Amino acid sequence: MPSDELVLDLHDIHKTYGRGRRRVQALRGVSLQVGPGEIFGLLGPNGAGKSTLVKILMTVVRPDRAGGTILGQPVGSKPILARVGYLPEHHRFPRYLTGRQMLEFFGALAGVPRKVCRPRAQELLELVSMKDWGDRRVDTYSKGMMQRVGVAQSLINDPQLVVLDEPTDGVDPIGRQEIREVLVHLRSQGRSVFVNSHMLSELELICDRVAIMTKGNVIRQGTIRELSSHRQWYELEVLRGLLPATPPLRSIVAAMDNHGIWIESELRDTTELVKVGTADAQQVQAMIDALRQGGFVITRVQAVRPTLEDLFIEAVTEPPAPLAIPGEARP
Amino acid sequence: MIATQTRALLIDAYRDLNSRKLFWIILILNVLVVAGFAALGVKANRITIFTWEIPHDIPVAMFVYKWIFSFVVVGQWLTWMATILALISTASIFPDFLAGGAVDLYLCKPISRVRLFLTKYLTGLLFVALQVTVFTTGSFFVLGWRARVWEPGLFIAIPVVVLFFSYLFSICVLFGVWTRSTLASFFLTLVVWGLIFGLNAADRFLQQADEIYADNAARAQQRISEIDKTIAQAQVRLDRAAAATRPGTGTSLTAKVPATQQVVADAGMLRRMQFDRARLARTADQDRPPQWVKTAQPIIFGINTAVPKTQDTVGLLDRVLFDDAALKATLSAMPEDYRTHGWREHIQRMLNVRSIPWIIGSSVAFEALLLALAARRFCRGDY
Repeated sequence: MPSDELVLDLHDIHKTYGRGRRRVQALRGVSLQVGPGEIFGLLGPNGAGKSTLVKILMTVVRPDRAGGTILGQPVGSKPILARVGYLPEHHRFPRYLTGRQMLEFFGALAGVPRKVCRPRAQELLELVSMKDWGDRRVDTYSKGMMQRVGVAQSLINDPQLVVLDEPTDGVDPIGRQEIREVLVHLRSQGRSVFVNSHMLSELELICDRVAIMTKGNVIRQGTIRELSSHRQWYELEVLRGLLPATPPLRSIVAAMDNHGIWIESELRDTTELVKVGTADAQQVQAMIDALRQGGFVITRVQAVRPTLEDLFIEAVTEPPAPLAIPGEARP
Repeated sequence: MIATQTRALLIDAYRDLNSRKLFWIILILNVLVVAGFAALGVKANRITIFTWEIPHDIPVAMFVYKWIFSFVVVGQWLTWMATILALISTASIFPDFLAGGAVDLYLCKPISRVRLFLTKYLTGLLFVALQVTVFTTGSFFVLGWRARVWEPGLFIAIPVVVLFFSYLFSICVLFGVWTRSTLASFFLTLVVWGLIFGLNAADRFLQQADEIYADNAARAQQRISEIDKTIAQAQVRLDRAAAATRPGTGTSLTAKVPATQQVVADAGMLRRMQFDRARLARTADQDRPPQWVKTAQPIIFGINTAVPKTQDTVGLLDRVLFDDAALKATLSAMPEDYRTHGWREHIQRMLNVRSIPWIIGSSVAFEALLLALAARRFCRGDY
């Protein structure tokens, strides 16, 4: 995708907190891209630098170095934030405002005229199922309600890019589903959503692309299919020993294991499970043929791909990158 | 967009103030103080306390009534008690604003950090402005109702007290941005206020000491001039009398007797005058400010120039309430002694000892410096 079409095109973002012995390098040259109409998930363990990256995008934290653009404007540009919505992680909304007042207030700060803001606040309260609570003070809300109204707040300026930091934190399963539906709805309108979350199973359901961060670097980036393509396999479940002349499964497996793909077999109660390490269905056909010729009854064939959680754990438990800060001596 | 944002921030500031219980408590206290002031009234020949009327023959009752308003009600209540309560209430504005999760919601909007900072600063001043407006309006009607004095100059108390509070609030804001702690910023502000008050008081004391010595010297010099004049006149008379009593001047003996009596009287007066003159000259010579006053005065003045003039700023209200016309009217009702001994000039000199540009200019410069430091820290910070 040409870079001028990208909603978010970040290059070489660096951020170091503190000085001297207290210096912590939070970001070490992060680069990532988000396209229009895309839900993008940012994953990473605690301390990976996700929130710092989000805060740099929203001008809450000042980077040491930041290249790239947001909606075509340089990172750090204030005017472009009128077209960006943001929900911080541990937000503290003014407790003396009602939900409706809060939406109208932050809408006005984003430059939305009052006439536009009022009906939009009503629409958004309905969208996040907070219509009946709109005229109550924020300090009477539960955590989940606070998140819902927070999501509504991030949409009050009708943004082209919505940045959400842990949007489902503290929300019940129904609320989480509703928030997911809102995000999918935004995507259907051609808006981009940048989600920073620990809820990997949820991100997996809605994200078009993800990036995995650890220790201030993006170590994986792409669609879930792209990230998991090298880790896909097929599972074949077969019934054992129905025919006396049936050759041992192990010998068939051994005969097949010569095409550069890994094959494993696993003994179960009445069946045996054969795993064929390929994402290519054609390559599995030979194994199916061999098993059937050998008299085995195949009860199940399934393409298996790792979950986002598997990919995440695999990525972050790889040998860590050196912690040393350039120019700083370490023991 | 700027108008929409500013309007929203100011409405939010009002809602924030409205939600603070202390705002309403201070407002009620202000109303009670005004009500207390209303209990006292002054008429031509009667002082009223609630509905009781006490006859009086105080010639400057109106002056005293205005003095009670300026020095007690404004000087003690507004600039001490109400200010401390206002600081307690507003000290949390910046620490709350800068708390994690709160400031993010503001910084992520298309509004510059400087504008956010200044708007939040104005929020604190809005708190005091609302309080003082209620207080002054109440006092204006009380003065009109109870003393039949409709004094529009009273409303100068609004900008004066807001200006006075703004000095302290700038200190509070700097500490608030620096420490992000309400308690720390409040107590550190009190400490700095104490130091400033001490410096202001020391400067005023040294200035007044200098004035008093100068006044005494001028008075002694004036008295010496008067004595010199009297001595000269007596000397002329003595010389004439001496000439008249000289033999061969042709004056009759009967005329020479009273002339001799006059010579004796003038000679006695001359001796007394010369004695008084010598005493006054000695006193004027000895009655100079001590050396330490002369040394300390410019140093303290220099330091005081750099800090806000809190008491002098509040004192600007007195310049309006007790202007020259008001003083003339007041002193015309006083015994002659007060009118002839330069009291009006003395009071005017004491009220106007420092110029308004010096008081406001140097104080606002200090405030601007502190705000610039706080804004710099706020604008360069990560949250």
